[in-house]
Amino acid sequence: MRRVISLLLFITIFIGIFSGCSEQENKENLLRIAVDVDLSSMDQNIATDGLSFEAIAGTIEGLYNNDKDGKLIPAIAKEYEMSKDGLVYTFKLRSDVKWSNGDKVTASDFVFAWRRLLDPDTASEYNFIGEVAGVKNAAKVVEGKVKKEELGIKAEDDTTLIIELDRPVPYFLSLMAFPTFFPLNEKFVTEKGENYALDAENLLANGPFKMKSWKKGYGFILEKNKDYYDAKNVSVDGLDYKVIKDNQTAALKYDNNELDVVKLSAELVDKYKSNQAYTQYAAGYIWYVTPNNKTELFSNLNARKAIQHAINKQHIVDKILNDGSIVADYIVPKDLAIGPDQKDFRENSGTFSEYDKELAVEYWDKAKKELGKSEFKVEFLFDDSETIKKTAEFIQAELETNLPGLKVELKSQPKKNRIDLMTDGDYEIGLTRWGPDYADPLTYLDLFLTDVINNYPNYTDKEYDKLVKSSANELSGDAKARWDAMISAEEILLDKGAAIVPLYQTGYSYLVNPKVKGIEDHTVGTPFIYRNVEVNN
Amino acid sequence: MIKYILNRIVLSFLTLLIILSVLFMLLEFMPGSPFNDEKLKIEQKELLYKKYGLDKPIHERFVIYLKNVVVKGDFGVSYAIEKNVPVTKILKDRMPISIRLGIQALIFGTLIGIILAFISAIYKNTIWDSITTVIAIVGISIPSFVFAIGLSYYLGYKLPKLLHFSLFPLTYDIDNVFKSSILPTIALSMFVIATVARFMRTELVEVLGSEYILLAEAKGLNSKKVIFRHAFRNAVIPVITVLGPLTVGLMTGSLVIERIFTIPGIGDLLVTAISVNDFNIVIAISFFYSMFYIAVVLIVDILYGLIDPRIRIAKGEQ
Repeated sequence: MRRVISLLLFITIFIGIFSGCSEQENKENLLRIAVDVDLSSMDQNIATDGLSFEAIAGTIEGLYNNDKDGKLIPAIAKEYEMSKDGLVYTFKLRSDVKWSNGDKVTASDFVFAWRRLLDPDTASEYNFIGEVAGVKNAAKVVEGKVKKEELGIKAEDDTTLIIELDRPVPYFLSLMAFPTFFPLNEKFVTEKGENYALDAENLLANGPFKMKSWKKGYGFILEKNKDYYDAKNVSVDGLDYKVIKDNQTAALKYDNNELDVVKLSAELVDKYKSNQAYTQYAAGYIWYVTPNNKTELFSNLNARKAIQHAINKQHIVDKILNDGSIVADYIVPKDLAIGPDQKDFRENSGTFSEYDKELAVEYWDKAKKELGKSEFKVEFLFDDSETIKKTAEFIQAELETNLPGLKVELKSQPKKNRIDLMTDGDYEIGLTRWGPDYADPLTYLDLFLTDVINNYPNYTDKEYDKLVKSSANELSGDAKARWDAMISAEEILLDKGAAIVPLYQTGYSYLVNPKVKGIEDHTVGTPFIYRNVEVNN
Repeated sequence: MIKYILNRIVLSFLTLLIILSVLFMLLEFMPGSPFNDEKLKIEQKELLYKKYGLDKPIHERFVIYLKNVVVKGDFGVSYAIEKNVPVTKILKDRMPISIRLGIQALIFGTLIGIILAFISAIYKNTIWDSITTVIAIVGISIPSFVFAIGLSYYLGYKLPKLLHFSLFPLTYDIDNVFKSSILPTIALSMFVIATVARFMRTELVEVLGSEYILLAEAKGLNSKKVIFRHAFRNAVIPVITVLGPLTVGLMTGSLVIERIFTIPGIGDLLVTAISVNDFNIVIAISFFYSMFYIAVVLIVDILYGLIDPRIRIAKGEQ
């Protein structure tokens, strides 16, 4: 027995020696960030997810940046000129911007990067954005109908970039802050070939940070780029990203002062809600109930209005999600787009489809009378994931309780199948979402144009189509009129047409060390920008 | 004997080929795609499919895939987790981490298991015996991830608060691999400890009651020598045979442990790959697991053949 005990003692001592004292200290002035997904790509033409865009925007800068409110501020572009017809943009570039290999950032770096983005061989999942931006021949290049050299972008000299558009695009400039449109160093990218952006060594930076190390599945470090033209205003030494997929573990590490920024999952929110570090950020996704306007029941306007008012959204946000999401009585998200008056779109637009049981019953009675029936049965389609299922069950209960005579059957499907069914119009009512592609209300309003593929409710309204199309085209020159048109369009969609039932705008709950200031969050493009972050140790 | 071994190796390769085909087909019929369905237009999907060769008919793709795997050892590229990175490169980075963890757990678990077995065999039917039996039962019946969460919370989180310095890091630390792999190793080895302890105890009790032990004692050897020189050697042989399947169990056990301790190994990678439909990674890792399993079974079978001629002859003549 003594032997056993002494062996155990030996093991304990052995472990003790190897462990030693190692209180985690933040020696360098690093911002320590936990992320719950792997960094999937540092190639701006391949990346599709928020974290990738965040890391790319940390290391590469484009023509413009967003400030903390989402307003555009010049980056590599010093100034621009737009032709009268809004079809030609001429950018003057800064001449003091350098890549981390010493090369100058020139106009031709943009030309190369844009051609690469739209090249069918690249098969970028974001190549549609060229057409969204209205760049001349963008769609044709993607389809392989014309050569990529015919794309409407050219470098007149090192500091002059000229971009031609097919049509005036009012939100064109705001797209220039989107990482997909950032420049690339042709020599470097060509030389690296297939290995470009696969490792820290195969990357170049021209922005506030550059990649120091990238340990796949473990984390990556972006260190301050001393050659950045605005380096004097970058106050942290770098960003230390750690991949921690379990939010609970990440929160414990926050408690141990091993991390500064940690995302919370819903079940952790209650524990940390009163913590000084608790922070909520808005995201751009809108979840909505889409009734198929072509079915017998939902072709009736009053029936659609009834469901608009019958669902207690606050309950979904507080009790089911509990993650920082907010009730949405609108389709164009909050904090997405800033109007000509420098105010958020939501400040000037209305709210629709608020929860109101009595109003719902009123509409419901009218609908029943008009349809000449008092019993209805519908099938509710949704994705087969846990939270969505809970939401769907709650909506089922709400509709059945608040609208007497309505029977709701649940039908869950894998996401892909659900999307296929909705695209084919082969459903009655369902739950779906949309995320913004660019900082303009059109990224949402576009969806509900007649015969658009993502128009799941099969909504059609001539006036709506006219307003949305004109704000994409002929109203481009008149910012005020255009904004008003979009505000009216949203009202038609949700109030007059009652096409859909918006539920909530997604949000995130985070723990952010109170010593950290200056994290800039955005609902579109790059989710977090750390350029101006300060850590006051 | 050589004929038997060759025979088995050929069969193993055939089995692997069948497994690869089944994996390929299964994932072919899975719903969902690694690309963002909602936003992609039909033309874009076509471009992507063309780029990755997914536009070809299934039988053609299957042949190409098999050829790439068998001839070049190429498992394609990742579609989602690390876009466009060859799967073999991803695995090369992560495999050693998982293997190291597995080996650590195996060694640690076997050692502790043997110690426990000795305690309970020597002090049979005493309180020590009961305690080790309870440990063994607990180790078998509680899943390893429960241990993992417990260990990470109490030793990784609570203990540093008490001691004011951290003995065991909460998560895997690439700059301090040994120290940060202690907790996951312990969590992972619980099942090994329990299995080895139970097996070994039964064997030891049997051996200790046998006549040659009586002889050894009769000729005046002290109990230390009896146990270590005579009993141990005989009792440990059956344990070696269970180590094979246990090793395989460790690989699958590490799926959740890796996530809890944020270890960038292949277990965690497989979980992520399944949830984001990164098909090539799913196939490759499942394939490696199968290969590993088959190799272990093969080695065990060959060892059996070496130890027991009856098995060899019976199988060889088939």
